[in-house]
Order: sequence, then structure tokens, then C-alpha cells
Amino acid sequence: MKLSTRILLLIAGVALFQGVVIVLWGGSLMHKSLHDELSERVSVIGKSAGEAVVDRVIDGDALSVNEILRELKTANENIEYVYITDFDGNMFAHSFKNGFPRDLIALTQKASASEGEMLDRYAVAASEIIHASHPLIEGMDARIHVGINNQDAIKQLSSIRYQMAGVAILAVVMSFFAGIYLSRRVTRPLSRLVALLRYYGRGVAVAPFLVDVKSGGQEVVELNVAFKEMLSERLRSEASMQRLSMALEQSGDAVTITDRDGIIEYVNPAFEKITGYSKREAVGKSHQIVNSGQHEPEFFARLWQTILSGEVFSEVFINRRKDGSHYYEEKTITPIKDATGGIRDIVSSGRDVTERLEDQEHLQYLAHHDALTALPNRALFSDRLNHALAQMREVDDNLAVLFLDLDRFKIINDTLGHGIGDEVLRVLAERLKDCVREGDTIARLGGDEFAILIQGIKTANHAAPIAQKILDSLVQPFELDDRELYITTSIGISLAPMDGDDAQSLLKHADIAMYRAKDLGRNTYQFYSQSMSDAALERLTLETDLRHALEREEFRLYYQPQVNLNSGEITGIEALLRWQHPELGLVEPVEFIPILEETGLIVQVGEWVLRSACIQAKRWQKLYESPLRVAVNLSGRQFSGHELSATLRNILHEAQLDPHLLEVEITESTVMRDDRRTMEVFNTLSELGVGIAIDDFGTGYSSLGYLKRFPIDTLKIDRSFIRDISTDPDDAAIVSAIIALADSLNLRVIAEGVETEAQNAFLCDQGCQTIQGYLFSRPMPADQLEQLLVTPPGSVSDANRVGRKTDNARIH
Amino acid sequence: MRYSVAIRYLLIFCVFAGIALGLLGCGLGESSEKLDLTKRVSDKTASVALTNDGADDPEVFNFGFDLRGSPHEDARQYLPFLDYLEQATSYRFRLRFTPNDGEIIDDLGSNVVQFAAIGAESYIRARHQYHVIPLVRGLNQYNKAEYQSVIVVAPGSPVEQLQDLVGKRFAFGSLSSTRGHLIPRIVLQEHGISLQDFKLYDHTGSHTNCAKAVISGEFDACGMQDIMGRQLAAEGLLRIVHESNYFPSSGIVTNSKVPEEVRDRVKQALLDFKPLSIHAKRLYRWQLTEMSNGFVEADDEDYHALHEWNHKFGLIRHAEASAEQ
Repeated sequence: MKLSTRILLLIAGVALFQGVVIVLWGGSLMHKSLHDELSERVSVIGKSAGEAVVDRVIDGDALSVNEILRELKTANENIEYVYITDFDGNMFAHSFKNGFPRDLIALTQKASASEGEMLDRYAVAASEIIHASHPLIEGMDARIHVGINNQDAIKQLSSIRYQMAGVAILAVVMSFFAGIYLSRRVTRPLSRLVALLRYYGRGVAVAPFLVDVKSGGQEVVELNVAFKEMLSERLRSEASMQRLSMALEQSGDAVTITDRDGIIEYVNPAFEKITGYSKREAVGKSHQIVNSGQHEPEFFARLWQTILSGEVFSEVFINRRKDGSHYYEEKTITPIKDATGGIRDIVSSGRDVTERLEDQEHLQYLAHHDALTALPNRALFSDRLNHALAQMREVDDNLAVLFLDLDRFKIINDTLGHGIGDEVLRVLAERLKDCVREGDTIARLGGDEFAILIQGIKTANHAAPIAQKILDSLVQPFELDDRELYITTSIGISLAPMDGDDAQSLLKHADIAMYRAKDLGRNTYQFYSQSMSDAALERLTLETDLRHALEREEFRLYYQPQVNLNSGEITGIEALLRWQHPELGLVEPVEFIPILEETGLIVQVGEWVLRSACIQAKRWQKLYESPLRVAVNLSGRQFSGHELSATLRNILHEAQLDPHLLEVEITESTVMRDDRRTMEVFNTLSELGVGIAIDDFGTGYSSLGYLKRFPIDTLKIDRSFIRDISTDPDDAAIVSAIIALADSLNLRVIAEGVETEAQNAFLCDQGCQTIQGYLFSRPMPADQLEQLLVTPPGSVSDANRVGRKTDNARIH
Repeated sequence: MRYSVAIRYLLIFCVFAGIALGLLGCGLGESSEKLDLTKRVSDKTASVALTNDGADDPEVFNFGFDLRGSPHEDARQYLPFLDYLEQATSYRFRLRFTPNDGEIIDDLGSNVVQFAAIGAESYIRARHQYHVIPLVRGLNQYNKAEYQSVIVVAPGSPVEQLQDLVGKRFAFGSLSSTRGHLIPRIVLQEHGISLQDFKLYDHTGSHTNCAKAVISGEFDACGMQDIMGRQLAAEGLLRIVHESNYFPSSGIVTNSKVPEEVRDRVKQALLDFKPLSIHAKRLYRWQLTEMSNGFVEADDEDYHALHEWNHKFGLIRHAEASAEQ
């Protein structure tokens, strides 16, 4: 129905309703008012008349009461009649002239049956009578009955009602026309606005403008303004929605919108691309179409519990594509609430992180595995060891940790290159796998160190065979790059719980045992014992003290003279390092020299020895005015160091010593380690003028060709050959050979460790020129040696002898 | 405006106009019951018709009284009392007024009333004339079945004692009233004052009228019931100059036509009447009656003294003479 028609109907209806209500209600009110007034009046008349006649009625004076009633009727023209019934209900008196109206009998009976006042209304001819009946005395039957004619009032009332009706009809008519006018005034501008909306709805670009709506009133004007604002707001909202829609459509994340029950309502192109499901295939389906079945039910229970509680759920899902393949999706699921707080929709946004997770898995793998050998690394090994220890406690079992360190692996890396070294490690890893059970763990701890975890053993006897098996597996050479490499390893074994109940302790103790194995010659295995720890601790203490020994000036140089066999003359002095430990006293070189070499302190200390020896030599030179050559041992580190020549030059310059009075002793094994480097160093030394002696000659693998080329000055026969020359023909033959060799090469030869006359005699017979040993003198401090220096030359046998203690220590 | 629109509007108008007129027509034309007052019957016929409707019920007993305030007040007092009797006895009672020119004892005698509350004086006369039977006597506020009269004057009256009343104007209540007439006569007689000693005396018809007569100054003194007299004295409207001795109180009597069974039941109901307790709430101003505290059994012998005084005053002789006549 048109609004104009509705307005018209409404206005006309309201006007009609009002008119009818006013007329009817007003008329009814007036009628009631009139009736009430008349009723009140007739009641008053009845009461007052009753009061006036009650005594007479009691007295039975009907005549006087009749008279009174007639007078009452005469005095009030509206009173149609009045009559009285006595205390017995009988007719006592009335105002009627000719009899009593029959129709009033029933009314009287009705009144008599009632209690208190009774009012009634009835029509008489063209009139209306209001009949009132009052008891003369409350509670008693005597009554006065009065009837008042209502006709005049009714006529007046009717007249008024007709007038009101006329006015009401007029109001309806006027309202009707007003309604027409108003409806048209209001609806016409609205119709224009409706037309505008239709244009807008068709997509026509409508410029909001103010239509001529003023005639519709302020509200219509405001409606037009509101329409314009709504239009603008709608345009903004549409633009915003469009941007949002484009963002969703073009997002690289898969966006899904489902209803509260998980039925898909929207998916974006990224979802289609990732899952393989088209929008048409997905919308209307349950979100479970991408379920892979890889998650436990608890996962989804947690998901729904979180969402339904209004919280956001973020997790990595393992989903399934349409083609059945699985992928990882990092997804965030957000419940969308309506105005009441209830969940209306669910939005999920996720991205395919399969590649990233696989990379992470790979990284995770790499974080726990050795890249070269694919064996578990230290971290994973420690983790498994801890786990095994926990299991061990539960089952009351034992386990063993084997610590492997390849012997002289650095040489392989240094000589053959790290490529070969890596290949050795890979092959070794495979061989190790063949030596252990499937449940045992092999790990590469780093470098050339490996660890093996053996679980479920009872005693050390169960671990030893495994260690031996490993050693045996390395007997076969490693054939790499057309080479055959022989690799050995030193193995340290610690047992749990005897040697420790935590990973760190077991590894440490196995490591200590491994070092012990190395000390014992390598290519063996050793079980850990507490004494190893004690030795290691002692060694560590020495190492710590050694680091400070130089600055504390705890080192001492002892000197052992080299004596000419024939003349008994001291032709040279070898400087030997000693350590005066403040608590331990004089520490034997065999105890601290290896530590110096291992720690690299040997370079600093060696330099101090050189300097001190040169300065001492210079002093003696000044004191005794005789050139006395001093021999100083060089360690392999010093020898291979690039600073050796510069150091020597500086020291010689500092000491103002003639280089020819300095002879450096290098062991044969050091010399032969790298002949090319040796030649470089020897040339440098030779250029400096420093003498070169090969120490411990006979114990290495000297090539005679190199001996010929090297600018060597002296060969020092190792004491091991001298020890038994008088009893062992082989040693005697070797010594003789060396002496002859030296002679042929025009090299000086010195025999070390000469302690007996027999040795001395042999050497003399063989033509050895110089000896060094306890037979003549033990190593002593410089001040003591000076006593010897002033001793005139004579037989060696006359020299001070300080015993048979062999000094095997050298500065290497 | 388009033609179709105009037609639509016109149709709407006609519809509403029709509805309006229809409603208005209904509203104006209201109807009520019609009576014809022109058709008459005779008064007798009307009386018969009305009477027939309320024919005498043999189980309805009329109850009269001669102790009046005003008809309205009397009705208000006695109607609740009769309600009690109806409930207590299962009989129906109807209160009956005695015309001003009549006496309750005559109504008793003529069986217009079957029960009546009358004073001692009325009983004595009714006893002699109609052989009425006493049932109970009323207990006053002091719980005594006796009462007294007081002689009252205006508060400013110079009368201090009875002897001062000689030559004054004296008002009595009703002639048939014990406290309003007989007892004051006894008091005066006992103090040597006769009616002839008054300048003027009259019977006002009721204790109230008697009090009014003194208050208005129409009379100098009045003999009235003690309760009302004391109440008015307390209000400062009157002053009591003399209180009489106690005489047997008013009571309720019945005539000889009432069946004994009814008489006994009514008597028992009266004796069971508890106006101070369980029956109090239904009563109206019962405390102002001479039976404020209930009833005790009555006997003719109770009234012997008053009987003698009646003789002495010639009141009974008058009744006997009337009866003989």
C-alpha cells in the first residue's frame, strides 16, 4: 500500500476514531453524569422524604403520609411518583391518584428483596424514569420509592450528542482532506528519493544532491541529508569492502571463512592454489576436507575448545591436498563474534610452510649430526648418554663410553690435505658401525675424536672386546686416492656407574684414559682408573705452574761439558733446562719438557734457554778467554718456526756472541720430518754461522743423501746405543758405523751418555772424538761448571764423576 | 491529482463516513426496559400482591421494645442483636416499632410482637394486663441486673438537692419507663415530694427528650436513666443532684402465646449472649443499652417492690380499671 494512502487512512482513521470516541464516550459520560445526578437527586429526595415520614409510618398514619407524598410530587415536577411500603412490605401510601401501576409491583418486590438503596431506570412512553428505593430505616423492610422523569435531560443530552456527532463528522472530513494534503506533501519528496535510490541501486553514479524536499517538512529535509550521508558512507564502505576483498583475494595466505559448525563459506585463491580444491569444491563443505589424519583427536579438541571460548588458535597443521599429498600449514584461526558476543563465523589464515619446516628439520638434523660422517654429534651423543644413564638406573645395568682419538691424524691432514683426512673419517665411521651393535651409539665429537656408547654391559670384560674389535678393524689400510693409509687409534674406556654417573664425567674419564693409551704408545685401549685422573690432575697442575715458571724465574740452565777423548779438554758445553719448582723442588725434565712441547710454551722457554746460554757463553768467553762452544737443544716447534733465524740473530746480537760458538742440537726425527723445511732452516743457520748438531742420531730415519747435503757439523750418538756397546755387539756395530760415517762426512761426532770406562775405552778405540756423560760430569749449574773450566786438561778418568745417573732429557 | 487516486480517496472517505454514522447511530439509540404506568390496579390489589410476596411466616417472631432513642438508632442497636438470636435459635426475628400512640405491652398482649425488651414498669403493667412472662433481666455495665435513675439539672442550676425542686419544673421520660418515670417518682416520694409540689411536670417520652428538656432550660430537672445521665454529666451538659436506689433492670419478656419450646430456646440464647466478648463485634453501641453486659434469668418476684410502688402510685389500678372496662 502506498505511503500516501496509509497516511490518509491513518489520519482519517484517527480522526474518525477520535470523533466516535468523543461522541460516544462524551455522550456516555454526559449520560452517566446526568443519570448520576438524577440518581443522587432522587436518592436525596427519597432519604429526606423517608426521614420525614418514618415516624408516621411507625405510627401507621397513612393519611398524613399520603398527603406528604402528594405535596412532594407537586413540589417537584420531575417526580413522576412516590410511594411507601411499610415494615411488613405492604403498600402504605402512594402519590398515584387512580390506583397503583401494576408494572410497579414487580419493581417494588424487587426493591423489597434488595438491601439498602436500589436504583433502576426504565422507559415510560417516550420518557425515561429513574426509580429509587430507600429503606426508611436501614435494615428494615419499610421503604420509600421515588420515580423521577428523565425526559428533559435525555432530550438535552440527545441534542448535544447530535451536535457532537456533526462536529465529529466535520472533523473527519477536514482530517480527510488534510490527510490528502499532508500525505502528498510528504510522499512526493520521498518518491523522488526512492527514485534516486533506484538509480543508485542500478549502479548509476548518482551525485548526491538536495532534492526539492522542503515541502515535505523538516523531517524530509533531514531524511534527504541523511540519505546523502548514507550514500557517502556507503560509498566509503564499499570502497573499504572492495579493498578488503582484494586483499583477501590476492593474499598469499590461504584464507578460509567457515560458520560456527565448520562449514566453509569462503575461500580465497591462495587456498585453491595450496590445497588444490577449487572454490566451488570447497564452499559448502566441511573444513575437514583438508584433514590429513596426522593429528591426534586431542589436537582438534584443544582447537575447538580454544575457538569456542573466543580465543585465537595458532598452530602448524599437517593438511592434505586434493591429490592426497600432505603439507604443513602454519595457521591462525580466529573466531568472529557478533554483537551479543556469540561466535558467528570462524576465519582461518595460513601459509604453506612445508619447505621451511623441512629445512628446519634438516637444520635440526644438522644440529645433532655430524655433517661429514652423518654420525650423531657431541650434543646428540650427550643426550643419548644421559638417556641411557637414566635407563641404566632403572634396569640396574651398566654402560661403557669409549673415547677414540686417531693417532697422528694431524699428519695426514697436514701432509695429504683435509680432503683425504675427511675421507678417512668417513671410512672410519663406517668401519666403526661394523664394530658395534645396532642399539649402540657412535658419535663424532669433533676433529678426529669419536665416542661410542655401549649399553647393557655387565663388566669391563664386555667393553674390552669391542675396543679390540675397533683396533683390529683399523689394521686394514685405508685405500684412498691411490694411497694406502694405515690409521690407528687410541681408545679410552669409562664405565658407568663405576667411573661416573653423568655424561660429562664419563666422557672426561674416557678422555683421560685415552690419553693414557697414547702415553702407552697409542693403538691401544685403556680403562679409566682414578690414578689416571690423579696423573692428569698432576699434569694439569704442572702445566699451570709451567705457564708462570718463566716469569717467576723458576727455570735454571744446567751445563754438561763435552770432553775431547784424547786431550780431556772441554770442547763444548751443552745447556740443559731445569725447573726449580717452589714446592716440588727440582722437577725432572722428562716430567715437564713434554708439557712445554704440548702447550707450545716450549717456544718461549726455548728462546729463554738460547738467550741465557749465549749470555753465559759470552761471559765465560770473557772470563776464560777461550772460545767455548755452547750447545742448545731446539724443539721441533722452534725448528719449524719461521722466527728461528730472526730469534737467533737477535739473541746473538744481544749476547754479543760469535755465532760459531753456538751450536743448536736438533733430533734426528725432527730433521727427517720435513727435509725440505729442514734444508731451509739449516741453510739459514749456516748462513748465521751457527753450528748444527743432529741429536739422538741413530734413532730416526736419516737418509744418507740428506746427511750429505745438510750443513751439519756434529752427529750426537744416542745414548741408547752407548749404553750396551760393551756388551751388545749390535750396538757396538752401530756406534762404530756412526763414527765411521761421521768421519767420512767430516762431521764431528759426540757420544752421549758415557758412564763407564769400558764405554769410554770402546769409543776411544773407535776413534770417537768427543764424549758427554756422567763419566766426566753430570749437568751442573754454571758456577759449579766454572770449577771444571779452571781444571787443567787431563784424562777423563781423572775428571770429577758425579755418578751414573743418565740424563736423557733434551731440549728438543 | 489522477483520476484513480481521486476515486481511491473518495472510496476511503465513504467507508469512514459510513462507519462513523453507523457507530453514532448505535451510540444514540440506547434502549432500556419499558414500563406502562397507565395500567393501574387498586390499592388493595397492590397491597395484596405485595403482601402475598411477603406472607406471614409462622417462624418469624416480632421483637418489640419500649426503650427508644430514635427509630434509626434503635434499629441499628437491635437488628444485630436479632441477628444473634436468629443464629442462636434458628428462628427468624423481625424488629417491630411500636407506634408513638401505642404501647409495647399492648403489642405483646395482642401478639403483634412475641418478644419485647421492656422496662420494669412496662413489665409490671404487662404482667397484670397480659400475663407476659419474664425471660431475662439485663446486666448493666457494673454487671448488675438492676439499675437506678438519676435526677439531673443543668450545670448552672441552683438546685443542689431534691428539696430544691419544689416549685420547679420537672420532666419525666416516658410514662411507661421505669427509670424515666417510676423510679424518679419513687425517689421524689421518698423525699416527700409529690407531683403537685412541682410548678410543672410532664412526660417527655424518652430519656433523650428528658435530657434535652433540661439542657434547653425548658425544665429545671429531669428523672432519667443513670447511664445516660452520668454520660451527659461527664460531658458537662447536666449535673446529677440525686441517685436512686437500685431496682431490678429491664429485661426481655414474651407473651403466653409463644410456645414453651421457643420461649426456652430464646431464653437460653439470651443467657448465652456475651456482648462483651464473642458477640461484641457484631453489635452497635450495645454498651449504651440497659443490657450492656448480657442477661440473667428473671423471675416475677424480682419486681415485687416495684409492683407495690405501682399500686401506691395507682398506676396499676389504672391498668386494672382499664382492663375491667
